[in-house]
Amino acid sequence: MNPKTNAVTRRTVLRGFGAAIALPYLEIMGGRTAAAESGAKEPRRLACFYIPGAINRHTWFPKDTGRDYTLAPAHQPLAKFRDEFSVLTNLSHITGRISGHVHPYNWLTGHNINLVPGTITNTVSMDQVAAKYLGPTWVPSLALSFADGVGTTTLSRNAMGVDVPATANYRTVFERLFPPADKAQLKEADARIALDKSVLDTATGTVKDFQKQLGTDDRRRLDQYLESIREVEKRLDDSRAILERGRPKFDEESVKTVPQGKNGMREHIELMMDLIALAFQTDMTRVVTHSLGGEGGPNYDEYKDWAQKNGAPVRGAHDVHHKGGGDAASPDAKVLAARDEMLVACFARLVEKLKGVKAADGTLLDHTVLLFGGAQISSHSGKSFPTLLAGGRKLGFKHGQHLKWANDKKPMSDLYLTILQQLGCPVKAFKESTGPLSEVLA
Amino acid sequence: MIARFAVAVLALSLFAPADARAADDSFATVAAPFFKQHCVSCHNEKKREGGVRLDQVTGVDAGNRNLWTLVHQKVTSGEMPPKDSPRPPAADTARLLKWVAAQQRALGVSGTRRLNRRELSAALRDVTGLNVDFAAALPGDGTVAGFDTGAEALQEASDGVAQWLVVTRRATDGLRFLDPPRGKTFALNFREVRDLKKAFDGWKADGFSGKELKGTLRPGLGLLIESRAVGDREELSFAAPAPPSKEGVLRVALTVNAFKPLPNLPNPRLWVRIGGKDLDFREVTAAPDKPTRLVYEVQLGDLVVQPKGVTISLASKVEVPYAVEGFENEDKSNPKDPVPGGTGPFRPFFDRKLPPEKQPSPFVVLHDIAIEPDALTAWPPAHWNAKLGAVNDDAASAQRLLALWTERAWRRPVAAAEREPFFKLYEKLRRDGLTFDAALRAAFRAVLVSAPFRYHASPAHPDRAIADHALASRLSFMLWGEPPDAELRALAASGQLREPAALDAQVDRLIADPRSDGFVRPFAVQWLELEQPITIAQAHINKQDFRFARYLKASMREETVGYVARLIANNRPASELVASDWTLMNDALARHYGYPALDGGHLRKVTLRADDPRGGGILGHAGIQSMLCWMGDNWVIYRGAWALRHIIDTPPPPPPLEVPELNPSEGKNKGKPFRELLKQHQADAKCAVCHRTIDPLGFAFQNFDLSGRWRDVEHESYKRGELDGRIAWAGEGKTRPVDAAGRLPRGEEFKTFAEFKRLVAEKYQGDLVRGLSKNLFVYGTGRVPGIDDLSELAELSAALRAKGYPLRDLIKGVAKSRAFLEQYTTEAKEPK
Repeated sequence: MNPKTNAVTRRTVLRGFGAAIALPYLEIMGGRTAAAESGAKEPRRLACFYIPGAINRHTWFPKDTGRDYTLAPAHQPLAKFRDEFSVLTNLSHITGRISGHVHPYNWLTGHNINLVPGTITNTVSMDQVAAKYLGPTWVPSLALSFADGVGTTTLSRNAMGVDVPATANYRTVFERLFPPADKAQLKEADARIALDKSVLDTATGTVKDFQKQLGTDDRRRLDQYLESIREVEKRLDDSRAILERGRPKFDEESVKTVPQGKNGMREHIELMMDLIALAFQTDMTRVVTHSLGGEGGPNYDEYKDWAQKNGAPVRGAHDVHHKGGGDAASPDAKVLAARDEMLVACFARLVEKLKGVKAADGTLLDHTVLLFGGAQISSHSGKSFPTLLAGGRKLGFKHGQHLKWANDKKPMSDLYLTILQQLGCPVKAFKESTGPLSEVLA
Repeated sequence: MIARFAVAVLALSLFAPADARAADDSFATVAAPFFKQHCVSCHNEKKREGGVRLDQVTGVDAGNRNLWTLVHQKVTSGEMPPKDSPRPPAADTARLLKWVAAQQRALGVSGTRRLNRRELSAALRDVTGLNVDFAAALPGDGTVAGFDTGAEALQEASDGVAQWLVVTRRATDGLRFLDPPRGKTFALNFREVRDLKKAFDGWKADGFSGKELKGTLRPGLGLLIESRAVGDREELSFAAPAPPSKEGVLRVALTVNAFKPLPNLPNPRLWVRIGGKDLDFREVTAAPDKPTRLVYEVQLGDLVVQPKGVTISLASKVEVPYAVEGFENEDKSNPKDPVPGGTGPFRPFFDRKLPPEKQPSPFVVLHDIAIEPDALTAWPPAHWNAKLGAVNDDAASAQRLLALWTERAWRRPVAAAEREPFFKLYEKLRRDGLTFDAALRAAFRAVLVSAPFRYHASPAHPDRAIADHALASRLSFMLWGEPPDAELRALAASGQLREPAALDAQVDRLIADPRSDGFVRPFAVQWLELEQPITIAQAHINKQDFRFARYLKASMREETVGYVARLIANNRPASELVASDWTLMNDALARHYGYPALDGGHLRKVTLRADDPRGGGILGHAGIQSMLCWMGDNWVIYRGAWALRHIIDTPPPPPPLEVPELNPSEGKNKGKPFRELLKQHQADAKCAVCHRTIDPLGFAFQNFDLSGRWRDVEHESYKRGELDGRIAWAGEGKTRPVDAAGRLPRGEEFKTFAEFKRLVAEKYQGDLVRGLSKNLFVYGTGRVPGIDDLSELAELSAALRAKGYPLRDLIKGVAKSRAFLEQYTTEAKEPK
């Protein structure tokens, strides 16, 4: 324990209200990861960030390829981390190609969701495969978003293809992240887990009885319930073990969970990214997905500023995605370019934070794979996903290059497979993968 | 106990496929050649016309059931293969259709589904007797065809189950059996209090905090809370102590009335906010001698609980979107603004020099308040009049309580053996040292986590008793959004619920009950997609927008919901959905539509002026026309596509890949009539497929401005802006007369909105009813209608044609359908 770190007190996040000025994260836990503090082996982590709607393709894609490529205008905020990330161009879902506002459904799954009216089927998302092998942690994985919800709000689908609900509430995230601090509460939490387990155990038997009387489709639905109960039981077991380790010690008041503005996109993303960095550093979770916005809103305040700066009509997010993905000279395209650059700036900020945290060996960034991208280069296009990959040097990744494959040929699933394998997940394939991408590996 | 019909269902699933096999018909011999010859040249990996691929299909299974329904429909109607391609021989078509229908029938139906978020909350309220919004802590559900009742979308994931554990724990933790009431109730009768400060200081000693109780005390009358404009902050606010766990139920009970010192003053609105959550915002109209009693129960876990406790705030607001003659009104600064009624909205003004009785502003009067910061509620609720006998700390009492709980929770009779595991849990926990109450609460919770609570059973369940109770639940959850009441359960128990006359009577009874709001509201909102934001673009109210846009918008939505509710309640013909001579208005809507002033916020029936070009019917509702403008300035397309989807049941396929953009406010497009731009757009073959149908229909609504009001001229372009933080569109440039000429999908041409409505009412009534019956079906059964279901829906609609498709009769038809009852006796074959 670093002597400079504040003494541990049980302080609720609420006491931080009002006086919420974030300390540099370096000061939390002495700027080290939990593993670095305890001398354990550094765990591996994954975070995936989804860019909603379209991007401005004229400013996103670098003109040339290879190690000496020219940095694209949209990626300028990452200039000083040039060797920490790569630009990957022309990966997409080949058989899973879809169109419109439903991309968040399959960005991480690669599944061609059935567009026949009335049914959306899906398969497991890449992050949930990772979550299965990277744990156990207090929180198995975090699904973050611009709003609370399922469907296109979340990026994560569980092993049965079912949506994992996402949250947009900083306080909820913060409170979920850590076990309680004081002894009485720990004891209570432990008793509660034991009781939860007995309740689930009793219910499981009756679910099975109920299921016996049903037809095939209905039985499948109850299977999902049983499987979910089993997962929760396992999670309760894991929690109990982690509970014994207690709450990580850091100055909780330094964590900002109240935004200053009401409707700021940048502030929302930055607050979430700070919580992600905190969760990774304290090792409360190892897998995060974060949808940076919706296909049709929220219409954050920034859209108005960008429109005014670029002489464009003020539009909502949906129309900016539609109209900014076209002609390079149009003011709308400049608005979209401004949004892209802002998102990349947020990403650069996270890269910097993770790089500043010392891990058991190297930095936290070296043990974290960051995937940052979208699924449309213009609205209603499912071709050539805009993709940035960062971090994970100690997991075998190499960076500082622009890789470009032939159009419509290389499955995004190859990248997902590569990431999963480098994270140490024992998987041989993911969706339509043909094999790992050796180009991104050292 | 196995009923005859259940045998038939079983027989169907076992023997129907044999029929298909016997004829040596299979996917390879029937469908594959047909697809190859007529379909896959467009529905392949590359082209994916209409978003449909048929090149990968290898048979009929549960996963592609709906795709086959689509194929069956399109081939039956002759829409596919397309007109310009060679027609398949009639024999091939007939063989395909017969095979598809038989295969789909052989799959059987899946009638078991999870309760959705709304239903889980309602069922928890029912069994606990607590009036808590349990949905607040539950994750949202996906939808099927727009409805939250769709079985396919009501899936299970570990996060949802983990959350369910929390919600059920909180729900049962609020109940007590042998435990004494916990915590204290803090009550003040303001009609008797003499010293407000002293009274509040007494509370402070018990952990309450806050400055003072704001308001004027009037003995015999109560605490008068001054009204304020919506944007003003003044409120009565204090913090109640919270238990250290920050969990539990907080109960707040109030008695209030409205006090209007001078005649003609608008009604005040009571605003209740607890722990950062807006719980209520209601117009108070009650007279002093008939006050309104309000009780709020909230879970602390859903609220912001600060170290000092939970903040409770009460305020009296006035939100009338118009001027009131003789009283203080806002914004007289710009006399040029064509403000309807004169000078801007009423602003409550409080004159310190005058006593309350002479104030030119209304008050909410608080008679009394009672706060229970950590409420434990005795279970079972007293009004159940449960004959339990004495409850003691013994196994027999636990058994009796558990039996009562389980039957209520499972919505059906429960055998002792079924309760056994829960009783065992109780016994085990007692052995572990838990109290009677704690152990029983855990057992109760296990009942809530078990499948018969969380899942609707199928009305085709092999056990007749379960099946009949499942039907009772299906009816009440459809028409009330909550579990069946005693009458429905008694009918189910007597085995008479399936009789058509009984079903008819129950539909009538359920719809006549105020609880049917739990049907009409979610149904209408989801059917018509009413949750889209309503755009307000009113130059004339300019700065005042934020003062009342919320109220006006809410009123606009209520107009449509209330209109549909009345049509159903009064069994009006379906054509009245689109054509009538009446609508619903309140104070705000009367102003919005330019009708004589009405008093108060409740909606009432208004007969439309004969010269009102909108006429009656939902298509002329401001809320509908306004909400279809929020996404962007291509509202002709949005409105057209919406009407195709929701009114005449001809949904356009999803947009194809790589659509070029149509930007009406830019470059050389600027100033061109939208009609011309859409012609350009249609010149692109990819776009034409859908836009040939969408656009000409969308023009019918051109007379509606962006706030849904009638206009005769339009601007050449519109600019999206913001007004006090809300989306607003402002017309720019020259104006031109509105041209509302267009075409319906089957080619009928119209020149005006009135002609369009007449055509829809005359020639598209069948389509309207087909769409509505499909929506009712999905909402009620939780599944998308299959081939057999569609033909049954067509039959039952046809039977109502002569009467003009009365809406409640249509609901009765759906409720009596084989598909709703899951009673497929007619197609069953005798086993040999």
